[in-house]
Amino acid sequence: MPKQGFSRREFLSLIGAAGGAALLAACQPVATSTDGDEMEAAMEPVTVSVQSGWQTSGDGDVWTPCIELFDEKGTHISIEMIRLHVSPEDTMTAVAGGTAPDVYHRYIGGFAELMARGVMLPLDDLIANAPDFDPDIYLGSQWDNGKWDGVTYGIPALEGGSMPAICWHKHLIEEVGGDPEVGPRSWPEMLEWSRMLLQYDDDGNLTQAGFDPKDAYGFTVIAWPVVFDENYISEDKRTFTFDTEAWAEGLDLIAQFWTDPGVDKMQAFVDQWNYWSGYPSSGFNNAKRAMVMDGNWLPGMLRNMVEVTGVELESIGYNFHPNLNEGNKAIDFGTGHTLFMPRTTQVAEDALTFIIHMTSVEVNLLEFEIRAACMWSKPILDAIDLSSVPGLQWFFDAPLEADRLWSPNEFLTPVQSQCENLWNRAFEEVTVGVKSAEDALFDINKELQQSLDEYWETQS
Amino acid sequence: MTSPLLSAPQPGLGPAEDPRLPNRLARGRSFRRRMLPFLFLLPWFVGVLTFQAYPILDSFYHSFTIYDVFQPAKWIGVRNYVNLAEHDYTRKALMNTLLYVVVSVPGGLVVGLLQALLLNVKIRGLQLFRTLAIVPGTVPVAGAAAVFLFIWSPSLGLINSFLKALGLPWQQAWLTSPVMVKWVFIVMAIQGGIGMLIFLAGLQNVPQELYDAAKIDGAKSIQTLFKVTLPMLTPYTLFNLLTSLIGAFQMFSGPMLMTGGGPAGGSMFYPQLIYENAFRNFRMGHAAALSWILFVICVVIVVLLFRTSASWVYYEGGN
Repeated sequence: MPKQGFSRREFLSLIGAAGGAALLAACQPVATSTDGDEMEAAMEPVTVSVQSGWQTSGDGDVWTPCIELFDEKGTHISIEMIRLHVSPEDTMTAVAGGTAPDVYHRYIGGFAELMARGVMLPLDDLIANAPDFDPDIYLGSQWDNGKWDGVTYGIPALEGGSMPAICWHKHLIEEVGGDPEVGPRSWPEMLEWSRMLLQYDDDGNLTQAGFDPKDAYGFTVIAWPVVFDENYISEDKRTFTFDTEAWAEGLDLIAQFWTDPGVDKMQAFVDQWNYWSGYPSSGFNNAKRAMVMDGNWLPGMLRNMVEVTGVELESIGYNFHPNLNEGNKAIDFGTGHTLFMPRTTQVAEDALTFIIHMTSVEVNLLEFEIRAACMWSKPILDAIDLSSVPGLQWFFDAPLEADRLWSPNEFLTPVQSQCENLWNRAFEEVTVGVKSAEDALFDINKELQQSLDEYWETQS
Repeated sequence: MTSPLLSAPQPGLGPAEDPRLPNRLARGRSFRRRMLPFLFLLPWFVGVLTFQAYPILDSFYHSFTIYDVFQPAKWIGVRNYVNLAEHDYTRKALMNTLLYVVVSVPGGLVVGLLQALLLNVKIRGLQLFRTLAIVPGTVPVAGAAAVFLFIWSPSLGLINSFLKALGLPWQQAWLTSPVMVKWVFIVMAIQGGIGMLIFLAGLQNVPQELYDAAKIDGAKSIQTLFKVTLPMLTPYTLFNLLTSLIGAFQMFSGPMLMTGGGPAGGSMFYPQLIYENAFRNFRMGHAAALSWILFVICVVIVVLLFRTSASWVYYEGGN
C-alpha cells in the first residue's frame, strides 16, 4: 500500500533543507535591479553612429572620455564615433543617399538650411517622452540653438555661452597709447590702433597685425549683426537686409583692416599666423595679433597653450566688442554646438539617450577640464569652478551687463551657407577694390533674396 | 543541320510528337544566338541608362524647376535660365572659363607636342626622360594644390623669391589679385601630360619612308616638321584638342582647393559655380540650368571642330 504524507523524519529534513536554502538566499548580495535595468538587459544591443570633426584627437579629444563615461552606464547602446568633419553638403548627400550616421555634431550656422528643409528629424515628441531630460536647464536663448520655426531639431551640447568679446594683449594696447584695462571703445579707435600696430620685416612682410575682422569669430557672417547692431534678415525670415546703410558702413570700415596693410600682405600673414585660437600657431595666442574677437572658449585655449606660446594669462583683457552703435554692449548669447539626428536614423530613441548623456553635468565637467568651455546650463554652471580660468569670468558676467542679447535664432536663414559664402565674397570684392561696399552688398542681397524667395515658394 | 536526336520520336513526351517542333527549336536557338551579344551588352547598357542617360534627362527636367533634393521639384519654366543671365557671377565664371580654354588648350597642345618631339629623339637615358616627363601628371591634384600654394605664395613663394633673386621687379600677389589668379591656373594647366604621350605614340607611327622621301627631296628639318610630321599628327592633334577642350571646360579641383574661386570670383570657373549652386546653395535647378548651358557650348564647339576637321586633319588611309 503506498505511503501517504510525510514521516516525521522526512518532514524535519524538508524543513531543514528549506530553512538552509532560505538562509543561503538571505546571505546573497541584495539585488539592486529595477524594472528599467531588467528592461535594459532584455533589450537588443544597438549601435548609434555619431559624426563630428571637432575636438576629436590628441589632448583636446573630448569624445573619447565622454563615450567611455557613457559605456560605464552599461546601456544596450554602443557608440560608433566617426571622427570626420561635418559639412552641410556632405550631410545633404549622405541623408539623400541613406548613408548618414545617427547623430551629427555641428556648429549651428551650417545646419540652418538642413533644419529648414526637413533634412533633420524633429525632436519635440521624442524630448517630451524623455523623462530624464528637461530643456529648461538651458540658460537664456541657449535652447534656441537647435530650433527652426518653433520646431526643435537639435539639442545644444558641448559648447555654447556668450560670444563674441574683444580680447587684447594689454602690453600691445599700451604701446599705442590705449588703456590696457579698457581696450578699444569704438571701431575708429580700433582701426587707428590697428594701423599703429602694423609691423613689417626688412623684406616688407607683415610680422604683427592689430586686428583682423576675418578672425576666430568674425569669419562667420553671424558675428556681424551683433557688431553692426543690425540684422541681415527680417524677423519673418522673408527679406534679406544686407543693402542697408549700417551694413555698408560696417563693411567699408572692417575692410580697411585688410586694405591698410595690403590684401597680399595680410593674406601671407594669415597663412603664417592663423586665426583659430585652438592652434599653437594662432596669431593671437602668440601675440602676433594684438586684438581678436572671440568666444568664451578663448581663456581655456590660452590656458592650455601657456607652455607652447608663453602667453601670460593675466596680460589679456576682455570687454564688449566695439559696436557701430557706439556705446552699445551686445553679445550673441548662445550660438554654439548642437547634436542633430538626420531624418533617416532608425534608432532615434537610442540616439536621444546618448545626446542626453552629452548634456549631463559629468560630460560637461569633463569638457571643462579639457577646454575650459562647455554648454551653459544651470546645473553645469553650478558645478564648474570659474576661478581656475583667468578671464572666463568676464564671459559669465557679460550677459548681465549687456544692453542687447542676440539669440541664435535671429541669425539663421534657410540659405545660410550661401549667405556665408556671399558675405565672404562681398568682403573680398571690397578689399581687392572691385566694388564699393554698397554695390557688393546690393549684389549679394539680390542673389540671396532670389534663393530665399525660391525657398519660400517651395514651402507654400 | 538539325540534330537527328531532336527529330527522333520521344515516347511519353508530348511535345516531341509535334512535327513542327524541330523547326521551332531551331528558331529558338537561332533567336538565342542572335540575342546573345545583346545579353553581353546588357550590363553596359543598364549602366549607361542608369548612370548617364537618366541623370542627363533628369537634369534637363530639373533645369526648369526649383529643386533642393529633399522637397518635390516645382516647375518654374525657363526662370532659372533667365535668372542666370542676370547674375554677375555667371558671366564672370563663363568668361574665366573661356579665357582658360582659349589660352590653356592651345598652350597645352604646343607644350605637349614639343615635349613629344624632344622625347622622340633617340638619345641615351631616353626612358628616364620619358618617365620624368610623365611624373607631374601622376601627382594627385590635392597634393599638387598644396605644393602650388607655397610656390605662388606672395611672401614665401618660390616664384616671387626666384624673381627677387634675379633682381626682377615682377613679384606679384599671385593668388590674392583677381586679375593674376586666373593666369596662375592657366599657367599651371599648360603642360604636356597625357597629350604628350599621345603625340609621342603618333610620332612613332609616322612611316619612316616619308622622312626618307623628304630627305631625298632635300627637305630641311623644319620643312620636314611642317610638311611631314605635323600633317601626319593631325588625327592625334584632333583627339588631343577635343579631350583637352572638354577637360578644360571641366576645370574644378585646383581652384576649389587653392582659392575657393576667389578672390572676388577671380578664379571662379564654371564647374565650381555649378557645384556651389547644387551642393552649397541647394539650388539643383539652378545648377542643372548652368550645366545645360555648358553642355550646349561644348556641343557647339565640338561640332564646329568636327565640321572643320575635314579641311585640316589628314588620315593616312583616307578620311
